[in-house]
Amino acid sequence: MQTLCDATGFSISEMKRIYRGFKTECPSGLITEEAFHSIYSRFFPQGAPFIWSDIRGYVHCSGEWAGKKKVSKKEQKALDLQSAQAALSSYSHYVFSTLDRNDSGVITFQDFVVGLSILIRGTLEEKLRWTFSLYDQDRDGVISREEMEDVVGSVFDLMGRTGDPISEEAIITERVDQIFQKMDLNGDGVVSIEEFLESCQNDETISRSVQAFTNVHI
Amino acid sequence: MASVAAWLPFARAAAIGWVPIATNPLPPPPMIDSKHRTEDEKLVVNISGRRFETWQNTLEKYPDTLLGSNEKDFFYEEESQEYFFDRDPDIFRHILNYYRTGKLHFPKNECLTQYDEELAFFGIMPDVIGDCCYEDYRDRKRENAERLMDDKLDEEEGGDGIIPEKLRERMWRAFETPHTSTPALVFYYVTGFFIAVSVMANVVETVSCGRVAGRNDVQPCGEKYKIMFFCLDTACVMIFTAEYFLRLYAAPDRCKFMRSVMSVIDFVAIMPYYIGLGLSDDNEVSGAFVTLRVFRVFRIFKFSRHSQGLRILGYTLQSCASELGFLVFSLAMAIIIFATIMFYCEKSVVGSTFTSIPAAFWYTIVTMTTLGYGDMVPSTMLGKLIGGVCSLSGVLVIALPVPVIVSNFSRIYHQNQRADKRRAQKKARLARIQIAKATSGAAFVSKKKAAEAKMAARAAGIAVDDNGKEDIFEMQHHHLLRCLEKTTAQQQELCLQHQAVEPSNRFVGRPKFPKKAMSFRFVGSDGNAFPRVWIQGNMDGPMNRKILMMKVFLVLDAIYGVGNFVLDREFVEVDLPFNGAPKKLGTSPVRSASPDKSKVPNVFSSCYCCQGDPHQLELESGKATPNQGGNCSDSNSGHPHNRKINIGNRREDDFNDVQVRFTHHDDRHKSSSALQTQETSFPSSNIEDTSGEAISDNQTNVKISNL
Repeated sequence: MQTLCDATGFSISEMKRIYRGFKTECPSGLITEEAFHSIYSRFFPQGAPFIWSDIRGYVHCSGEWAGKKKVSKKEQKALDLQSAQAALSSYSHYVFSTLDRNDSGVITFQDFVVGLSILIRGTLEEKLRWTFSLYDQDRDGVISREEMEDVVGSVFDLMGRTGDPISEEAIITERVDQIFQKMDLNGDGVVSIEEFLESCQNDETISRSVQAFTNVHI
Repeated sequence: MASVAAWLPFARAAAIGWVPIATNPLPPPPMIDSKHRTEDEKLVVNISGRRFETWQNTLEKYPDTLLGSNEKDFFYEEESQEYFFDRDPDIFRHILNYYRTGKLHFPKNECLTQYDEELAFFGIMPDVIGDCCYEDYRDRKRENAERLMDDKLDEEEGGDGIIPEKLRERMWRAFETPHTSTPALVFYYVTGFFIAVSVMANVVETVSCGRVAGRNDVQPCGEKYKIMFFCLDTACVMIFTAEYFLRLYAAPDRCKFMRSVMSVIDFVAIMPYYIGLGLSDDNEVSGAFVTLRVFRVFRIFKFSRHSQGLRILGYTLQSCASELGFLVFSLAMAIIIFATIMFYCEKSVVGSTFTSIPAAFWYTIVTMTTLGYGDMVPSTMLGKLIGGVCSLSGVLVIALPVPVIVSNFSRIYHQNQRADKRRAQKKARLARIQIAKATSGAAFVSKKKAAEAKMAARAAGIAVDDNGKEDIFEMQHHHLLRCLEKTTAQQQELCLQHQAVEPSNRFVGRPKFPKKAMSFRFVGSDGNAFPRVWIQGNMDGPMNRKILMMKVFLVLDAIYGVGNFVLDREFVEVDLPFNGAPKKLGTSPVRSASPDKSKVPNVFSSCYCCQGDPHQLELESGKATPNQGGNCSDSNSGHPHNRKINIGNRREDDFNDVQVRFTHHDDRHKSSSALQTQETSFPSSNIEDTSGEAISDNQTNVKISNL
């Protein structure tokens, strides 16, 4: 435990508390993507509901609709597909894959606590790097427009899709254009890490906003 | 849910990813006081001595429960710094696990109602029971509910004690539950007898009785003794018809009755006779007539009213309809298959009995049920092989659904047995509980008296030795009851004041009391005594004796005023056997030497005509001796006065109402109408009096004994 504390900069008591919370939530010590997603959906109840069915065939739904009802096999398949797709494109998925550095499909405590330490105790640059890797899903070092759209779409999903998808798409596209305009300095259609870092550090709004998450209390 | 509270910091931290997207600056975070959130605390929850320790966060996971909310502060103890609950620790273990893991389990060895109560206490809904245990929980809950429903139905059916007034209801009840009254039982046995007779007659009718003269036939007894059998049949049918119509008349819901199985059977049993009467003796319809006679055998089903086993069998078959259907269907399938195969195997044999597939059905059935009559036998090798396979498989096919039916029958049968046993046990149990309560009631009474004595003594300034542990609860309880008595006694006193005294008839002769009368003697320590007090009552059984004591209390209430007397402990026994043995009094009461004339009739303190003089209340045990004991003879009226307090009804056999009549030789009017409920027609009717003035505030110690 001491090495972990040294590596991450948490105190012993903080580490204990984090570990206890972690272990309570997943007694096996490993977080799968579904578990991660369900945790996230509890925080953002308006987000796209995560639908799953238990062994008895009752359909559960995280998010605002928490009703139970029996569904037929066909509906079940459709729901599974839908939920799988929803899960794939949700914000939690991106966070998960960012945390899961070696693509093992599960997050160990080390991954988790390392990620947490970066986000909480890291410098601005480290945080921005982490954010970059969040956007850059395929780890190619640059953020393409599609990647950006995916992530922005997922963030909007957290709020819950209320209006019709077309206007939302338009909003997302517009937002992405704005960002690209701001960040893509050499105009090559993608945003590299240096461009990202530079533009974020120079942008007042962003720097100030980063402070919004600094004093996270363990 | 605070289980995710552990993740909230992470979620907030990960939200940094939104930053580039935001066009406007995000709001600053809330400033949290550093000392606000300290180290996570451990709580100690003490459940009846067993200590459970847990983090505070664990309990806060479910804030809508007792432990998760501020409600637990009600149970907090400062000295030991723990939360104390006086509940079952074994079940609490599961409840705490719910907080820890988020899943509530239902232990199989616990009682369902107890578990439910604990859950209700801790504010947890049973619906959150985890999937692993939920089915079990639901099943047991359903069983419990069914059993309770059965009990309740039994109670409702079995006698609410209401005696049905109307003839119809009485008849229906007699029909349905023959053991309730004697005529019903007689009717039950008579009909049973006639059913048996009728069935036997039908059977014997067909036995051969000898040869017809001149012909070579044997003659069945039915032909030979045609008239006799006809008369017998007529008698039976008349009885059955009468029974059917009586039942129809008595049935509360006639349409439902007519549709019920038993009435259909009854109807079918008697119809052939009437149809036979209607038909003439033509040969054409006699065939149909003979067919109708077959239906007479249905009379045997009427026995199912008389036998519970038969009913259960019928009910079982009804409930196993699906299994039976399965049996029949699978049998039919097998029969068709094997018959076809057999037919084609044996077709070619010369002179074979397997002439067609339906003919082979008979062989298949006989073989599958392992009967083997031997009227149809395969000759070819292949046929024999198939025959062997057929008989083996027959055993299997029939043996499969049978255990299901058997187990159903067994379950229903045992359920019935249980229901009967439970009913019998319940009565015995209730009786035992009554006895226990009666004795504890006596304890209550004596305690009450002791408490009141203590209070009175304290009020009078006398030192009371606190030898017994004062039960504060009991004292307060008694005080409450006394307040109630005082509240209601006011009214009584008022109404009693306004009654004048009427002259009474001379009490002569033997009072017409039933033999079951118990006599009591009341002697008050304040010197008041009362003449004969008869108390009529059913003396048998602790319950009745308790009622008797209640009546005695009522008398004393009326005499002294509610709450103004205290029974002397030595002499009060609730379950006093009436053996006529006189009890000793503590002090012998003073007899009045010379009766003074009293102007103010005051039954409470003394005989009204001899105010101030104590009289001895003497009680007669059914023998009328009106002049016994301390009568002060009123020189005016010239006859002894007895104050008779009759408690009892006029009807001798039920003592539901309590009536207190103060009979006095001067009986002017009825007694305390507050207590009286019915007038008697005793010649010495009378009563009463009273002015409440002599009611002393101090309590008088009344010695009560029975002679």
